[in-house]
Amino acid sequence: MATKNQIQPLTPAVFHILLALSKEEKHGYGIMKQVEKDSQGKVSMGAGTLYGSLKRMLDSGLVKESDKKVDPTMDDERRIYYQITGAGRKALEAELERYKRIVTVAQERKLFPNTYAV
Amino acid sequence: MNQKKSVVRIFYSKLLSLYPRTFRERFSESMQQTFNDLYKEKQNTNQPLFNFILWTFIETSIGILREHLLQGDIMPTTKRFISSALISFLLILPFAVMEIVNRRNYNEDFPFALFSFLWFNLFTVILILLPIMLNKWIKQDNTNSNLEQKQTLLTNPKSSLIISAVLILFIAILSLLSSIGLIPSEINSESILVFGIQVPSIFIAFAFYLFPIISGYIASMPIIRTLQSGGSLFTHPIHLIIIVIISFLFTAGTISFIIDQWPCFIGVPVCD
Repeated sequence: MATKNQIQPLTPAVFHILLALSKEEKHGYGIMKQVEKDSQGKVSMGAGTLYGSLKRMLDSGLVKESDKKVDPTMDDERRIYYQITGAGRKALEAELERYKRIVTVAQERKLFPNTYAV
Repeated sequence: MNQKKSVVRIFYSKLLSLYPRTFRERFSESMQQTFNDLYKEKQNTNQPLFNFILWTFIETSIGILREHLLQGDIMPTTKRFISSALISFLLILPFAVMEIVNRRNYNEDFPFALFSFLWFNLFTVILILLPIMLNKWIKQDNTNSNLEQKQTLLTNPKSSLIISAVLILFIAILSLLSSIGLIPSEINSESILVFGIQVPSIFIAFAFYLFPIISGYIASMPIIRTLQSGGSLFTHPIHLIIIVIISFLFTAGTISFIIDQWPCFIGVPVCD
């Protein structure tokens, strides 16, 4: 069984999708909006990137599809919802650990803008 | 407004139909829904629709290309042609946009012929090089040794080399005839008399282009097959030389065209 350290780094798109799905299941448009919100509007994911990434994530078991259902906040169209799997959660945790280590290294080397003058 | 919306939706669904079949069956409905949601959102918030539509169509086209390239070990002829056409279109798009934006005040027609030439040059280079680059750099670990056994006239190194060389020689002969005056080098009239036969000049011009393209295409086949079966890029050196020469000529043509037309792209009033 792969440990957290053995899990391969994620692409930015996959990372953002997993992060968007970490709280609750979402449909495609919902994922896009959550990614935009999580990144304070800095990441805008197009449909080509989103669904291409979702395909590969479904194939590798990081996310799974739920049954089609209606989003009560939108219209009466039935949509496919995506939800994070156990493997997806582990991959996200491993990626966050990697980020945390990088931030620690950057802090130790005083690389953050407000630490230059020290 | 609703009519405009439905036209855009139809175009988007047509674009989605270019995805590989398995991908399309699985995601096109969701993608269309997402597009509709985004369209509605932009409309409700009065954001510029043109930017959104342009960005979405380009982004989705890149996605289509990526799915085609990632799917399947061998790039079939149709996929190779469609991918090359799409990539070259996307590459000339910024220049076309520059031309439209920077020359909108000069009351000129859009130079379709010039852009067709630019597109065709890029298409040729990509058509010849794309599967080689994909197999060399992307699918290095995904080799299939069984492929080496399935040889056809075009994938057999000897026969493909002969066909490719004959086509190149044909062009050399045409150039020779042109240099001694049997074929005019400046093709202006509608048809040209070649060995007593009236040949439309457009055919002559197209032949000059078509032969090196076919030659390069055929010369690339054994190299692609070798790379797919895990072999080296340099297994067929003469094929490689033919490809390099043809690609170089078309690339040089493209670059010199862009340099020549650059003043027009940036909006210089009298640029020709």
